[in-house]
Amino acid sequence: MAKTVAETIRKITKRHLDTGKGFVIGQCLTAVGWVQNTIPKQKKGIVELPMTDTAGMGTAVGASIVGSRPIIVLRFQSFLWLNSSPLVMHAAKAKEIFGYGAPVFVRAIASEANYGQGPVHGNNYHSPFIHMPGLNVCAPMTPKEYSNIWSQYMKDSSPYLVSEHRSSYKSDKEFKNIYNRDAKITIFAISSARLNALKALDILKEKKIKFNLIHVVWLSPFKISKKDVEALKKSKNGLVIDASYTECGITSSIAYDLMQKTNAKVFALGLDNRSSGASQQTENGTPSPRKIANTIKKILKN
Amino acid sequence: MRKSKLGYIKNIEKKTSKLFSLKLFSMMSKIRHFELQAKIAHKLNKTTPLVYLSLGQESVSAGIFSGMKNSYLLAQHRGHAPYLAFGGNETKLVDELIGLKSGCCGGKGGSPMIHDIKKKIIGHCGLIGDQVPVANGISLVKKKSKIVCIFGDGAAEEDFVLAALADAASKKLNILFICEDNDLSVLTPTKDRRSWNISNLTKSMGMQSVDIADNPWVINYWVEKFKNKLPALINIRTCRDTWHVGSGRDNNLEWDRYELTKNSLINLGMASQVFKIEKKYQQWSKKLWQKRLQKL
Repeated sequence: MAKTVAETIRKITKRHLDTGKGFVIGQCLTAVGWVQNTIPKQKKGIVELPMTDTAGMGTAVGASIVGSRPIIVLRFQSFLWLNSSPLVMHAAKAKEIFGYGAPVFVRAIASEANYGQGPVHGNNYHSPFIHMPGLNVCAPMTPKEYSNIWSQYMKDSSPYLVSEHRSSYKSDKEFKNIYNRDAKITIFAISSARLNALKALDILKEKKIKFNLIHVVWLSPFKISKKDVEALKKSKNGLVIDASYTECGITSSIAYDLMQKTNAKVFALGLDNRSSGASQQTENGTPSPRKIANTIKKILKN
Repeated sequence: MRKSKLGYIKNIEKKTSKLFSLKLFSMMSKIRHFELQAKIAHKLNKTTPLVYLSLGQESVSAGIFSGMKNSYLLAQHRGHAPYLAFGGNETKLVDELIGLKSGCCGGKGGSPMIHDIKKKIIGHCGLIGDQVPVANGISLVKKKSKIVCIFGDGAAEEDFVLAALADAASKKLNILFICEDNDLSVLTPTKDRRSWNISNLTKSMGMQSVDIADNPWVINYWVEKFKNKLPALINIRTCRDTWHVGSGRDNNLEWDRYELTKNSLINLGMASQVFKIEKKYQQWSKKLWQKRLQKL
């Protein structure tokens, strides 16, 4: 039976702890479901932090400087705001300034802005982190993507910010890019927006709109294949989608890069430019399949 | 308010061997003369603009290093003195201060970020207090190693520093924390910033702690007393000679520990050795700086 994303993370972590190459550090790791069952239920290699965010990240960075490969778990991605300083000011700069790396593996867990989590713990906050050189930022949504990122990390001496999404944890699916010879638009989807983009495709198919769909895993450095560039060039229109704000965000940044590369018109779709609310009528989550489909229709109409 | 005799141990200079006292002064003299040359270079615009001098604070690093040899060292932006005391490469330090590629950070970090990983001197990111939780992380991995972590009285107020100190106490980490307390955060006195004392606070966390002035013999006494019962914190009252950053100076200071130490040694009958040491480091420093400045 195929493994889910959560099982994959747990297996990778267990192997890492058992071989003594690093430890898992974070707050409340060993309670309330062991971080959605992504942490192995054992004492060895698990370091509980007090409720101290900035100091916690600094501790993980310190461990990474002297040969360990610590995994630090941020149970909610909103904690990135509190944890950012040691990550961007120390770990990301270490290799370039000091000549030695700080390979800390940051698991930052995003969740959908529903169930009242909107204003506090909802959505993705990975965008500001692509701003800093020296920090790898990725958003895996499948078991294979996660395993590949882990393998790459273990060979690298740079810090990794892994933007996870709870909506992927129970999934064992792998996703392939979709290419259409007569596509009118190329969709670049990130994190939870990938799931909604897939759902939007049914609506587009009904309307007989042909499209390409590219699953984006690497945000910084942004990785795109020649095939994807050619697909965009040919379709002449693009849309980058993510569950983060578009202003100075990853969607706008990628759209700009793609336009520079291709001369295609590429648009950005993310959260509405307002705080998420706790109630159903005020939440501001991942662009819905309907919203994605409507945006595409509007782009093609113009 | 800082006082030069805070925590003084009566006749400690007399009870210490001459050899060790001269060793303490030697390190102070090395740092003082290195920094005097750095000050000249800064005034002549030969260094990068942001230079954080340790003039007036030499005794802190001199008092620590002999008791904590082979330890990891994490200092912050004012790191020249501990870097020199813990054996950091002096040529690479000058080169870093004057922006050469051969500097310890390739000329990219400047004064606040210096490091020498071969000597276990870890680089600083430039933001005060960052090094305190980083020291905790190193200690979690290098359980058998001792770690010296130096920060200032301003950094002591950073929320993440307080949290890291508390975590070090809870996890009984092998770290000697040193607070270089000059009673100022840039130019704001401590009394305008807080009502508490870092030494009392860390005691309440279960850590051994003491609050003393910067007498190098007294510092060394407490380092020896604490070093096998870590974590511990020593708050050391100092009088920095120059501005927070750069080579300027405002007022006459309450005391100059370098001169006080020198006079104590002279009074103990070590005048000739003292002058010999001073001459040695004066010449060493001048030669080192002149040679490296020619590379510009």
